[in-house]
Amino acid sequence: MAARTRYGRRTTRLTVALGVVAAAAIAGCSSSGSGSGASGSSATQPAMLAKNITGTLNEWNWDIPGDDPGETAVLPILEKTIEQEYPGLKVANTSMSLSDQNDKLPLAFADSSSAPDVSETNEGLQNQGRLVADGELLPLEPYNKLYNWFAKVGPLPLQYNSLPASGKTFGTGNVYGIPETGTVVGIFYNKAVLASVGGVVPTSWASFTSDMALLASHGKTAMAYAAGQPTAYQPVHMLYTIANHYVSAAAQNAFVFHTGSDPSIDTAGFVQAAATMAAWTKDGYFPKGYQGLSDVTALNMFDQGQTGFFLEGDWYSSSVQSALGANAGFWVPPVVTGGPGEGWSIPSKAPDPNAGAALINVLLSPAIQNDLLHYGDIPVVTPSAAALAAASPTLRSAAAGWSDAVHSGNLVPYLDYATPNFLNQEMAGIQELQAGQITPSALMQSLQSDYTSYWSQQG
Amino acid sequence: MTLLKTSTAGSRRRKRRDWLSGYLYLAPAVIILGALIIYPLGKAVQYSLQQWDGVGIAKYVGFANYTQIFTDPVERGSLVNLGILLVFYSLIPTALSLVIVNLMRRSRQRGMGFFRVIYFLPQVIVTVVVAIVWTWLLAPSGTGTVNGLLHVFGLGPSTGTPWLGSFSAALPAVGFIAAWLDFGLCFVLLLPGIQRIPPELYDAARVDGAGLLREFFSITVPMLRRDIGAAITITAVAALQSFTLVYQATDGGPGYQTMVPGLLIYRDAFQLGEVGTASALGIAMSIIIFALTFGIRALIERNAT
Repeated sequence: MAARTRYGRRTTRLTVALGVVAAAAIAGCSSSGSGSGASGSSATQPAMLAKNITGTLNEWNWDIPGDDPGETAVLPILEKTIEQEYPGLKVANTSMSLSDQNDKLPLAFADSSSAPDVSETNEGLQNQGRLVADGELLPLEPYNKLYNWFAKVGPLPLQYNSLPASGKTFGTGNVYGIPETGTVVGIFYNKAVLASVGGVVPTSWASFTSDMALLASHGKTAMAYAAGQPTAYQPVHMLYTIANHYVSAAAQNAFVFHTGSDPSIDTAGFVQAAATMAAWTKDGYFPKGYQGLSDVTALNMFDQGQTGFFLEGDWYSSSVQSALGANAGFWVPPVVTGGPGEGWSIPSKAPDPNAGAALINVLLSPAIQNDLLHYGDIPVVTPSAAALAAASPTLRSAAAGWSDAVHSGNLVPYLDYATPNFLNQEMAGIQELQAGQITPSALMQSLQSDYTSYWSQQG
Repeated sequence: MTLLKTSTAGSRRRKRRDWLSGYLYLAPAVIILGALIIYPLGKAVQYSLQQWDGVGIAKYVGFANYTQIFTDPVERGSLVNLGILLVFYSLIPTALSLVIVNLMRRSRQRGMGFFRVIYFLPQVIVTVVVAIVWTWLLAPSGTGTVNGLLHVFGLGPSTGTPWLGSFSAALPAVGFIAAWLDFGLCFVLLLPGIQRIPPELYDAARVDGAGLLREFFSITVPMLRRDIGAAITITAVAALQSFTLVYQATDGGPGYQTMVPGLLIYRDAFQLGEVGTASALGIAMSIIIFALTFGIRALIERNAT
């Protein structure tokens, strides 16, 4: 299987803020949508689904094997489980592409004859925000009272799925989606390479950085790293991970969700992170010619045992595990960058929202969550000890790291959620930083200036 | 009289019919051109004067989007990059193919068709494929053929140069790919032209004692003036519209070293929801393309008289 990239999963992140404006505009223009229907759900009170229910449960998703191996694999298991639990119910599964999602959902959800009972929706304002602004999604708090989902999932994954009625920001407000999986960016390591220079398996930032220095002093490339465009997004993940050591999760959350009195990236911690990245570059921790290497080349370098470390998302764990076997390891720092997979939402005009809620509840069941891990995704709920023990070591570490970070409040969103152009600007900025064209503080000043300018235009 | 009157009236009717049928013949082309080119162009002009995200309500902002082209360092920089790329896209391939067709004229080889196909081949390959292949060829050593070859001949370190990732080399490297891409087109455009030049002209010049250079500048270049004009115009327009090659090879990086207006238009319109800015840049590029085309044409016509 080709290595997964977070951009398969995180496509819509780039256009988050486009959605802010679009959602607001649609909210202003729309005359249908919320409050108009007596059909479907508005007559249905949230309740547990009766066991003797009959009919069809329509479920829509955007899971594709390449990007979501676990989520795709559990779909048939999910159907079977529901049909066993509710013998009169048939599950009709519809899988679509991401672009279908953006094109079809607003129209399909507007009418009970076309709306499904439950559907995946993408976090961020372009998709979920637009639907919320149009009144096309049900807030899930009433169902949480019945099923207690929020406590299982944890606050930060829900924050991505939380929106105020205005649709102008996200991160607070009602919850409109429940994710089933998570992702984290961590540090893959090769035990054999570390041992060859007398290094130790990283368990802390200090041991990780001392291993890097040790590898460099032995003339080895410490970190498989690629910054060649257009495929390599490792530079931003590198900066995020270093920033997690210097900046608190709370401060980074405030920046991404634009909350607090003065959310800023131009702070001493972020400048220190940029300075560290520049220093690592200067000290030769990265491969020669990294500026022209592709992400796959960096992965291959690590898989072939040429470097001690490879900093990337858990989506590379199956590739690394199969290449390095017992020598593979994955360290998740205590404060870690990551985010949930797509949220599961119930349309306001779902024919039977209670059936939709029943499906979400089964998705969060231990059996399905364990299966997600078994098939290669991090389950959003902490899996059982037995399931963890059976998972590959790298995925096991990733799942444990996700669970720890979510429950300790130390999960940091991908910073490029902050504004639509943030990823472009930071990619260019990091390249300039690594080439010594700008200083760490100039990089942060420039990113902050663009951020301030963007939010000042949002009113 | 009656007959005459009838005849005049008939002629008028016929004229009106001719007039009508003329417009009817024109109508399909005018409708298609109007609907697919003139109307969208008009809309683009309208959008360029607005701040609009593509969905909501637009706000009139006057010429602010146009002034931004010159005040925003990234947009301004993209125009400078474009100027440099024009040399690679247009002037270098035209000059190089001019020299080569001139040399080929002197020694008429068999199998000319084969060379024509080989030189033209890059034009037939989809640009995305060209960009991907060149990204591999120019990759740092270990994977990159160019660096490997340079190292074999002692012209580079074993680690190689990240041609497309280096601040100093990226723009010339993209330009090099563009020149390679456009050379075949210029070659095919100029080759028939040089074959049209009567050999007697060269014979006469030789009798008068003209050398190779004199022949080139006094016969080949003036006689191929229109063909050269066509080659420069076509390749320059391609340069101004450049998007795919840059998008695939460097995505405008490192930093903004290879950023071009085409890529900025795409980002503004489709990633950032800044349709007004994208339209303004698009309209500005159209004006530049028109000006350049007319400029080249005027130059060719002036020298022709």
